[in-house]
Amino acid sequence: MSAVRFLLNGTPCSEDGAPPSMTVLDWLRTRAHLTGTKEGCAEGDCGACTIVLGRRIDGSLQLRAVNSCLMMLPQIDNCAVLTVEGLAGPDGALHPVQQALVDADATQCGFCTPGFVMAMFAFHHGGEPADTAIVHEALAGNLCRCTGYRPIAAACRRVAHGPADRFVAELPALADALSALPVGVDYHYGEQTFLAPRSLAALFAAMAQVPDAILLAGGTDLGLRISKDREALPLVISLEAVDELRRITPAADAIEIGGTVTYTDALPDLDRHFPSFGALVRRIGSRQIRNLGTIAGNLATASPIGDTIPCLIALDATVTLASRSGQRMLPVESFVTGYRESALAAGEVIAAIRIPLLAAGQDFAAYKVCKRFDQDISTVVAAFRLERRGGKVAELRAAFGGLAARAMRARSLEGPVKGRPDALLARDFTPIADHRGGAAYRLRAAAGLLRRFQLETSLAEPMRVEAL
Amino acid sequence: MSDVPARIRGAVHAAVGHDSAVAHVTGAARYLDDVPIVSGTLEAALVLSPHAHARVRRVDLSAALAAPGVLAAITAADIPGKNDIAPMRSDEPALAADVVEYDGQPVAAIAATTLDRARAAAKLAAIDYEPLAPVLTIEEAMARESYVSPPQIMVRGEVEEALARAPHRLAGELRCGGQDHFYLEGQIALATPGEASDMHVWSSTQHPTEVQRGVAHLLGLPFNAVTVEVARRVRRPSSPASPPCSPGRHVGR
Repeated sequence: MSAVRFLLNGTPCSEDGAPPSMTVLDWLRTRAHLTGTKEGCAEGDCGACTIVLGRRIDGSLQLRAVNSCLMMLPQIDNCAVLTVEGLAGPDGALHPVQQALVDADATQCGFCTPGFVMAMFAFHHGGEPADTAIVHEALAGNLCRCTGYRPIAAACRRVAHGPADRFVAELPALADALSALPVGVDYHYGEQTFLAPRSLAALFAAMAQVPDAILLAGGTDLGLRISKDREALPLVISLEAVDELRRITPAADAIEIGGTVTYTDALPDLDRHFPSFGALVRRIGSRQIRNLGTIAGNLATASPIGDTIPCLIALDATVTLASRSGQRMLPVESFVTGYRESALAAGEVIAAIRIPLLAAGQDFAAYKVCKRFDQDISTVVAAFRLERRGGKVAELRAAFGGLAARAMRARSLEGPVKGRPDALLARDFTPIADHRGGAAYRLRAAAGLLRRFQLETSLAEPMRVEAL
Repeated sequence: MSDVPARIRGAVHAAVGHDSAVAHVTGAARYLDDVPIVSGTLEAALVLSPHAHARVRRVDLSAALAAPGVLAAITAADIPGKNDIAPMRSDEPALAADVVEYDGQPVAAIAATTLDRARAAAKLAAIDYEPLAPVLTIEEAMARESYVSPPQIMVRGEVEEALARAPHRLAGELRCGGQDHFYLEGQIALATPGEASDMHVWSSTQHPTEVQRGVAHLLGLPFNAVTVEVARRVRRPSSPASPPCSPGRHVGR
């Protein structure tokens, strides 16, 4: 009999009577009757649904804050699930994070509070310093409508430089309990099937068996069909347990990011090799989203406002598509073919994305323009890779998102050109107008981003506007 | 002067914690959606207008009513009392009747055994709208004299004369946008019919009396037949209670 098995606040749990399309949030609230975790938006924006997942990675337990409203129940298989109800000690003593919020008078109506508690718990266990910018980024996935955030940020600074709580001693035991659970099995309930193959070979076999199945990586986009549209997806194949897809492989001149590497796990390498890409990724969604979402998923969704796509195009990245019959590689630029359309064929999965490292004389920068700083869908994204030789521009790759049905290069800007950039861009793009920006605005913003890149790369001392 | 106490008596200028703070941070604080509901409670889903302004030509809920688990599907016509839940004037219906005036305005309510069934049935409602041009700017509203309340003009004395005699005259315009708290907790209400015509309502509202009045109007009941309880107050008066009450009265659950 198939079941979803996990630890819930330390206690082994098994569920075999709920549909795979039940969200983890709904399961917690209606089956486990743990109502501390709240539904605020059911779309992964407000963070009221934040829980912390512990997964065994290389022998130790890695704690990550995630949006439970977007997750299908089987996605917590083989995880240690921590909710707000599990933080206080057995004697009722508040966790340091909880105490800090109380001491800082950081609650008013209290509805957002459990979400903040869990996001801060994850932050506490990350051991990061009490730096304002880091705190704001760590809490970007949580909204509060009452307090104005100041006392919450103050409480978060107080619990930096962690961890120092009872979980430090308890995590190894939790990791052991997790390893005692049987590793991911296929889960069936009613008309719904959720397969969790554990190798590429098993994955291809599953895809051949159920060709209509949807492939699920982090599910931060797919999750909306369940949480908002309330679709009961009948056939899902999860890539989560396919170890071959989780690797980041450095090479001499490139870095290969596997198909299920999350944004969070890719950040150290992005920061090292393409700091501007790393900075942009930190503005995609929130930590809760980035702990689940994948770069390959962003690419496969092929949305016109998929933020990584212009960056990958500008960096001349290639994508490796694997299937039963072998592998093929395509430039990312050719992989995205239209609005939410890609060259991914039936039976194929994105195995890896290969990004060439910057050579001497190359500069790369990426910019995101949107109405909010964090947690917002872009109006315009621009990515530029400039190569100079002998003091002259040898090559410019300029890619934009938010200007067309798909992210594309602006060929009109890439050669020796005369004319105003926004007029040149109008040759390549006819943007739509919507509540995120008018057509003329988008072109002007894109032109402005090119100008910004020009200024930043021509100064003697490298500088970013954000640093001002 | 030596009699002046070192501290102010009472809680003024003293740090006093929120009396629910511990409940907030532990998740123990109970909001209405957290309250366990009695088996047999119906869940309601609303059918919302996709138009900012339109005439409602035809409403056909037969497919919704026939959907699995559905026990009631109601429109404005099914409201036994007065279709009015306005806090001040009489300009806010619970369910739109002939005309819709904002995108998302409820036009019908479906009650079913589960929320998913109610939502699925709501999608089956067949409603014909005749879109009308919405009034979206102050200038347009003024041109059409389309006012929520009559314009207020504050005058005292002989204004024109005084302005004519004044050495300096200044004219200007001030605009300020509307704001809403937009509290994170969703709108929710639970209605339980009592004996005879009584109705007991739990509501995520700041203003139980307003909800009591709205429900009493809708059901054509005296106020004392309606009891409203608040489970953890939210910030703004609202009338989420109204939709569950009519189907509840209809079905007796």
